Amino acid sequence: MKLLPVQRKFVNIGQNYALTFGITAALWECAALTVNSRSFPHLNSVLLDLLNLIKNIDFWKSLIVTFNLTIIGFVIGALFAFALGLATALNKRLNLLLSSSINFLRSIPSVVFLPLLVASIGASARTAIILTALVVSLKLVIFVSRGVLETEMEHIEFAKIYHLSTFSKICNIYIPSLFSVVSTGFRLSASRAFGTVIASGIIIGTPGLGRDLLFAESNAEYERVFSYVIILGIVGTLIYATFNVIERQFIHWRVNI
Amino acid sequence: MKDRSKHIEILNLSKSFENSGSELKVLKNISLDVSSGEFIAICGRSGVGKSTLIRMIAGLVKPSSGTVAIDGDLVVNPPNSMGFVTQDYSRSLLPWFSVEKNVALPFKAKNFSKLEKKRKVEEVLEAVGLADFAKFYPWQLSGGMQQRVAIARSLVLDPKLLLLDEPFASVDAQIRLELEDLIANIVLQKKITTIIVTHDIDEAIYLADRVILISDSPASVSKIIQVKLARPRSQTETRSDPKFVKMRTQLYASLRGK
Amino acid sequence: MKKKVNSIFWTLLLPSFILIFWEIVSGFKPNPFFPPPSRIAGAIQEVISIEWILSSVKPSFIVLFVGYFVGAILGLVIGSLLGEFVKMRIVFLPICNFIRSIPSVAKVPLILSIMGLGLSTRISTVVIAVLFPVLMSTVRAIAATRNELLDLNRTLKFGRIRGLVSIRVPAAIGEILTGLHASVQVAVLAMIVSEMLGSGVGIGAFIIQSQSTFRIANMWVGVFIVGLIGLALNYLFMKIERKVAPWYFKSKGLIA
Repeated sequence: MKLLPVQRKFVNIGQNYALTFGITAALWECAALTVNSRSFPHLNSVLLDLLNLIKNIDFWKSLIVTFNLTIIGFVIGALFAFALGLATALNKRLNLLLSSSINFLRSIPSVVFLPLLVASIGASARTAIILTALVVSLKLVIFVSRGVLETEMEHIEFAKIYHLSTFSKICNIYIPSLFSVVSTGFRLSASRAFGTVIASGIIIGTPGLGRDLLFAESNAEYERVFSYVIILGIVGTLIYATFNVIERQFIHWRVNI
Repeated sequence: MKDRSKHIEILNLSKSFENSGSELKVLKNISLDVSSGEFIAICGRSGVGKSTLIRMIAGLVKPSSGTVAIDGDLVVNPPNSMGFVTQDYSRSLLPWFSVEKNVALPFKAKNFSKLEKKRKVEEVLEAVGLADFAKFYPWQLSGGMQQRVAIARSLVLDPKLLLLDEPFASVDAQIRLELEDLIANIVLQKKITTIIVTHDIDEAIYLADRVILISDSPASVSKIIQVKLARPRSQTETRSDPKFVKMRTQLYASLRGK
Repeated sequence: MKKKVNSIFWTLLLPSFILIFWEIVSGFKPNPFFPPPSRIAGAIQEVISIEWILSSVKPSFIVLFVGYFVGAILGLVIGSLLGEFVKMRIVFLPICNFIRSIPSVAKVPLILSIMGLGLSTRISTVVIAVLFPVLMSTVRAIAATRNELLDLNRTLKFGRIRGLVSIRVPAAIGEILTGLHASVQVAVLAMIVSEMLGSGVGIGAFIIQSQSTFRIANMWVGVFIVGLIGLALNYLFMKIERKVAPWYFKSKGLIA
């Protein structure tokens, strides 16, 4: 039977993924045999455990909590990033004023604030949100300010020639141009937001999948630890992919140049 | 006291740029009158300051001394009723807007009814031969077509003055000839005063009523030629006209003589 | 000269304002978690000693540097190979991408449960945290080599490995450096987390212990020291980037 080019493409992709999976499984089994301890379970037992995990309603609740924290933290952080980014990009004084503090905060890994946060406000969902917002705003602010500064001179000139009002300049030129740079920042900081919610769960026990992972680890449920890590990988991949798709849809000109 | 025959009046225009303490003189004492409906070509080697000159006329760059007046009014900001086309279509069109939205951009600062805008956009797209491409995005079009979009945008408000800064330098030779004819016809039909900046002597003679050669550093007007060739002109016949060839020889000689 | 003084003034204005504000507010309304900067400064004197540096800072530095170098070199080598050999890339890239998508903090409990507590665990944490981002950015950079350069390689008859080393990697150096730079942050993060989760050694552990024994000023000292390390490494990398690939980093005009 002859295959159409499209079908052939799908078959090829399927074959490649099967090969990837096969090789990964083989490597995993080799590693499990070498380590040969309960802490490195075999693939089949992990997959079984993974099935049990996704049948569990508590897991889904945890997942939703994690998502909620990620989204709230991301939105708050993004708002801050836009305010700070616009301010630093449009005013030289403010740039000098703020950049040293922003850079100092950026070079501190956010997790070192966790002990402080847990001591002062406890290990609640709010703690995770505050930390996530901080991480997102510090990551995104650079993209926002770069996006404003990289606006094409000629576009600004044309706005001047045709006497566009400030408002229409912002809507038609600055914002679209900004978004083509910032969309990359969105993608990266969404992944970071997710990572931060998980980190805060693992380190201080804020609600969500991170805390569940930590419990599994301290209860020596080794299969569970692996299952959670696989789940986190899947969610991480999905977040990245979603933002990629959005980027391709909305920022079509950037992708196609 | 407004002199209507003088659409544009350029008087003793000079420009120097400051570069880390030292002053670089680019243009010196340029004076030029352009009458209504005239087609002027400003010609010179690359880097001589032609773009700076046209930008000063457009009100985008401030002269160091001297003045530009349009209809007797001093140019400080970009004047109303001016169209502007630059060389780099990839940077002058807004990539996030479709062709029709790009062309409609100048309307953003004007009060027109929706219907009127639509009609006007259709009309100019028709005029540049892009009626079927209104919904396309710039990145889906070839370079020549993108430059047609830029031309359409410059015409959409029915300008009395059209400024063209090396408009055909980024398109290939065949398209270039087509676009030259396109501009020449539209401008002739609508009686728009036009100034084109180009480094191509043939293009300057082919398009213009008057060719202004600027050269030297700092640059000043070194030669003015009246082009008395009948319109409409044709790429094949006009370019082989003995008068055309003679003017070309003259201009080349003075360009090289300096 | 005047310009420089001016910019230094504006740069230092906000930090000094924050410090003064903090000092005054904590004088009026003491908050146990935000001890006045003067107390923290006092704690710096108290904390920093030769023994402390040997017991807390040195192990952290060993973990950070060994982990970063091993991870970066592995990432570069594997990344270049995957960039050059398309067949290998198709098979291995999805799994690398997947591992990269797992938040780096979440990998720590896994490594802990397999390897137990100890120096090698902490180093492995940093290695794995650095390896995958470096690998991915290297693959992307190598795979994007311009066709003209590939043709050059063919006309010079360099062969695959030599072409990789002398044409494709240098051509991609800017992007590779960006990847290496970005993973410095991840390395510091992984180091801190691996120390926080149970090892009892290093700056991360020092911060957690100071907090749990309620020596909050000491905890702040730890936080500032981590910040300074991050800042210094960031600065170092910026210098290296501008030195090694000035064309790449000059043209992008990033504000640092």
